Order: sequence, then structure tokens, then C-alpha cells
Amino acid sequence: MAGDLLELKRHHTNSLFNFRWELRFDTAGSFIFSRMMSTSQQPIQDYIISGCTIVLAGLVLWGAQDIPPPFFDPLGSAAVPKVCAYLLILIALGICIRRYFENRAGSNSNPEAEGYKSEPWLALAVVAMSILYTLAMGSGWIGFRWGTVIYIFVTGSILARKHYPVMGLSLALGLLIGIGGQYLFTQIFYIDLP
Amino acid sequence: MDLLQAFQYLLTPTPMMWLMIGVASGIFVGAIPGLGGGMLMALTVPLTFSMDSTHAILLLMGMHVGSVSGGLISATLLKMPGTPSAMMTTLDGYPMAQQGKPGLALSLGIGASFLGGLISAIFLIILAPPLATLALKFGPWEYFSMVLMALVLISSISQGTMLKGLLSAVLGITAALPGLNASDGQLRLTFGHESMTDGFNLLPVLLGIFVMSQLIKDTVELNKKATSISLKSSRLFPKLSTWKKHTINLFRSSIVGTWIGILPGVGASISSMVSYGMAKAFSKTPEKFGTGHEEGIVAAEAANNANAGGALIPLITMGIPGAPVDAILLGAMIMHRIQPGPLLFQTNGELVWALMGGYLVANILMFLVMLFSTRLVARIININRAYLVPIIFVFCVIGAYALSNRIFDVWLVLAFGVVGFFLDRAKFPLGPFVIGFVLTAFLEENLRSGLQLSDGSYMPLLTRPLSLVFVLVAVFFLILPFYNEWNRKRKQKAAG
Repeated sequence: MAGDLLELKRHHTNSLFNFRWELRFDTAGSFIFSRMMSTSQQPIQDYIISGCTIVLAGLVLWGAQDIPPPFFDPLGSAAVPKVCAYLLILIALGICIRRYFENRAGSNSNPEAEGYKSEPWLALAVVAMSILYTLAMGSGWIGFRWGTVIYIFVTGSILARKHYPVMGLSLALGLLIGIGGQYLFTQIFYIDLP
Repeated sequence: MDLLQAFQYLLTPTPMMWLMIGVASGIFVGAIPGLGGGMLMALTVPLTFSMDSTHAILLLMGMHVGSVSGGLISATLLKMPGTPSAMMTTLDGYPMAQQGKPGLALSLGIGASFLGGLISAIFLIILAPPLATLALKFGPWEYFSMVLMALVLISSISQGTMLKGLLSAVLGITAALPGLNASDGQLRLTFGHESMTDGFNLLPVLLGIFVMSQLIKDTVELNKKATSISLKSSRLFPKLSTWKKHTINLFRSSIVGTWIGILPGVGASISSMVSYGMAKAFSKTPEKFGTGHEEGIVAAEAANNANAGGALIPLITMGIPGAPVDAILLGAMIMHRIQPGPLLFQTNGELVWALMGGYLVANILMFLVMLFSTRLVARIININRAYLVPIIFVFCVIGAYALSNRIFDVWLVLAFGVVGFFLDRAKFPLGPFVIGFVLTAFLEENLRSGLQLSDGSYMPLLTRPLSLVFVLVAVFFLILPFYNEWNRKRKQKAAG
């Protein structure tokens, strides 16, 4: 797997600079992440998404095996999942084959100039914070009120990148949404919160 | 309730207030690049649970109309379309603003949006009742083949290749499969997890695909900055003389927008692209397109607003969303126990007429709000993402959790957000995914009913005339991209 990825990496590296930059990522996970976050890496993204789709289709087929056969209608509950799984495999293979021939013919639709420095690691940090926030509330470590105050302040601070006035305002917004939001949603809209 | 009674109802304070709130918030959110009508509507749905269903739908529809129009402001002043449907407006709106005429660009856009919306509202009111009567004659095979056609159609004309669109649609269908199958009571694809018994609820999936994925994208693109053009002393009220020369373009673009809206599953972005292309093809000065040309702005804006009205036609008459954003409207209707479709005219006629009249009133409100608030909105559209991203996620949590008090739904928002982000990054369109997800139950139910009626035979797909037409259209759109590619290669070879 890692060998294949390195091979693909070599194929799709456009410049020496990019190649050196990529070499700093020593695991396949980091490599996939960096490639998936880019808007100019269509070939490898297509292969990765097609691969994941085939795995998903396998999972659906495996799950469909447990569904009992139809007993009163001709279709049954397993038919649609199976058809979807086969279609997913077929289309995913179609995308891979098409991409392979396009690469061979040298007619990639990339690269697409972004015109700005993208922030994949910042996005990862935001997703990680969101996961922690959900996990903390889901497991009862913290309630909505203070969880929200902390989440908005910390995530806002990460995005503010040491811009202290923005961090200060993030704290104020966190307090407002955490404390005010809990009152608004539970007392006025009658919506339960975690 | 007929249309007149609907207007009497709509002009009372409460429905008017909800429409106004919807339109104003839609314009504001639509104007902020990176946010959009879909996001606003998905976040608002849970807040409407305790509302009267007609008010809730009017609020959401107002948001839809407002957001389509609001995208024009940032497209013109920032060169960043607030919504994808304003992409074509950027091509001429921003250059015109750079030339010192931001007011003219915005006034053209506002006027074209208003007239496009009005024309499509007229089509909606005229076409919906007879189409609903026609749809009453549909059987399960017609519905099944029509949904298939819609999925192929949206896949074949979405961003990227058709295969990617199709994969996205089938992924959406697959995501809707886990849980209890209502028709035979069988559990499927739950993998032994109790939380999966109810399957993936619509709202968390919509919040993930429309909102969370956009938040991740906004963070990745945090450094994407735009220079705002000031709008100090510009006149925003469109001059009548300006409009006289755009009459044909305006009507043509509105009709094209409405027609593309009627096609199931096709969104406003496609409408504005097609109208822009047609305006250029019919123009006496096509070379000026893209340099700040009035005709370009009129075509794009009239079409994207007209699309919103056109897209309501299949939604109301057949229960099929005319555009991905309409899937949210459909979802909201279902959550409020309203089943759109031909029977809606009989079972809930008041709502249908209020909805159609409301669309017309929403366009008038949009025009007025845009005229008087654009200057204010233009000043605040560059909001720092450090504030927006965490706050919007908190609202996602509230919305997802409120549905059934399960933290599992919040996990779904995160999961579908990440999936949606990566699909979008790799240019897999998200529209087919959403439409596929929303229509799966309907698709399977009709296939099941059809097979029961035909003793397991698929032949009615080909023997019933309407069903055959839908199948042929689907096959045509399935083959068309391959034929076009083959033709292009053949011409390239012939050229040497």
C-alpha cells in the first residue's frame, strides 16, 4: 500500500520542490491527507475516493448477506443495497480506468492554481476540536454551556493565529453563545441540549 | 384556498414577518462568501419544529429567495460569489465595479433578480396545478423512472465528469439504506449497532453535507482574501431606461432559468451558466462579455432567481426537489408531516397556494430589502472566519441533537461533513448525493409497489408510455457525455 502510494506520488509530483516537500511526510496517512486537501491533485484523489468506495461497497455486500430473503414481495430488503454496492464498484472502477487512461494520455485537468496558501492543518485542528467537543458532551464530561464557551474560545483562538483582539472577542462570543444560547434554546425554543 | 385568499393570508402580519425574516437573513448569509442558503436553511430547520408548518415553510422559502439574490453583493464587490449560483455574475459584476460603477452592477443584478423571480412565480402559479393533475395519473413505475431520470440528469450535468456525479448519487442512495426498512420491517446494514436502527436521519446528513463540509473548506481557504470595492455614493434603484434595452435578454434568461429549474435536480448554477452562454450567443457585442458587460449580469441574475421558482414546480407537484437546496425544503416539509406531491393540492391546498403566493411576495420583499440594505450588508460581509466557524458548528450541534436527543446525530454531522469536504475537494458534486439520499425511500417504495403490481416483472418500465419516455431520457443523458467525448476526440484526430 505504502509502496503503491510512493509510486503514485512520484508519478504525480509536478516539481522538485513539491517532491522534497512531500518527502517530509514519512507515513502514508500524512501523504494521503496532504494530497486529499489539495485542489490540484485530482488523479490521486480520484484513486483514493474510488478505493474507499469499493471498500464501502464490500461492507454493504457483507451487511446485505444477513438480510433474510423476501417473504411477501418480489424485491426484499437486500436487493437495493446489493444493486447499489455493485453499482458503486462498477462506477469506482470506471473512474479509476478513465483516470488511468487520462494520465497516460497526459490530459490531466489539473493543476488548478489556488492563488492563496491553503491551511490543511488548521482545518484538521478545527475538526479535531469539534470531535473533542462532541466527545466531551457525549460522554458527559462537560455540559453544553461550558463546553461551548471553551470550544468557541479555543477554536476561535486557533483560527485567529495569535491575533489577541480576535481571541478576546472569541471568548466573549463563547460566553454569549454558551450561556445565552443555553437559556434561549432550552427556555424559549424548548429544545434539549446535550 | 385560491391565490387571492393566499395573498390575503400572506399579507397578515405573522406570515409576512416570517417571510421578511427569511428574506433578510437569506440576503445577509447569501452575501457572505463561504456561507449560503443551504447552510442557513439546514441550520434553521430544527428551530422550526415548534412553529406552524406554513410559517416554517415560508421562512425557509424566504431564506432561499434571499440567499440566491444576496450572492450578487459579494460577487460584485469582492469578486467572490456569496453563493455558487452567483458565479457567473462575478464575471461581469466585478469588472464593472472596478470600472467605478458598482452601483450600476448591483442595480442591474437586483432588478434582474426581482424580474426573474417574478416571471418564474407566474410560471409556478400557472404550471403547478395542471402538472399536479397530470402527476395524479402517475403510477409507481412512472415515479420510479422519473426519479431515475432525475438522478441521471443531475449527475450528467454536474461539476466534473458524469461518472463522478453518478458515484455521488449512488453514495447518497447507499447512505439512506441503513436502518429499519419500513415496507417489510427488516433491519438492514446496521452492523449490530443500536444507534443505526433509525438509519441516518435527514437533518444531520444535510447539516454535514451543506454546513460542516463548508466549514472545513472555509478553514482550509482561510487565507483567501478579497479586496472590497466601496459602495458609497452609487444609485441602486434600477432606471427604467436601462431596462428597456435588456427586455429580451431578461425574458429569455428568466424562461431558461425557470425551465432548467423545472428539470428535477438541476440547480441555479447551471441556469445562470446556460443563460449567460445564451446571452453571449445572441448578443451583438459578445466580445464584451467578461469585461463588465450589462447583459452578462442581467442574464446570470435573472436566471438564478428564476431557477428558484422553477425548482418549486417539481417539488410541489411531484415531491421531487428541483435543486439540491430544495431537498432541504422537502426535508422540512416531511418533518412537518407534509408530503409534497400531486395529492398535496387536495390534502393541503391552503399550504400549496400560500407557498406559491409566498414565493411571489418573497421576491417583492427581496427587491425592497436589497435596495435598502445592500449598502449595510456590503460593509459587513468580510466577517472573520475565526468567529463564524466555531459558532456555526455549535448551531449544527444544536440542530442535530434537537432532532431526537442523540449525540449519534452530531457524530453524523461530523462524518458527513468530512466525507462531503473530501468529495467536493476531488470535484465529486454534492448535489446528486443529497438528491439521492432524499429520494431513496421514495424510489424504493415505488419500485416495490410496481413490482408487486406486475408480479415481479420489470417490463412495465418499457410498456407504460410515460415511464418509457423517462427511461429514454435517462438513457440519452447517460450516453450523451460519452458521445460528446468520442465526437470531440474524432474531431481532434481529423484536425491532425
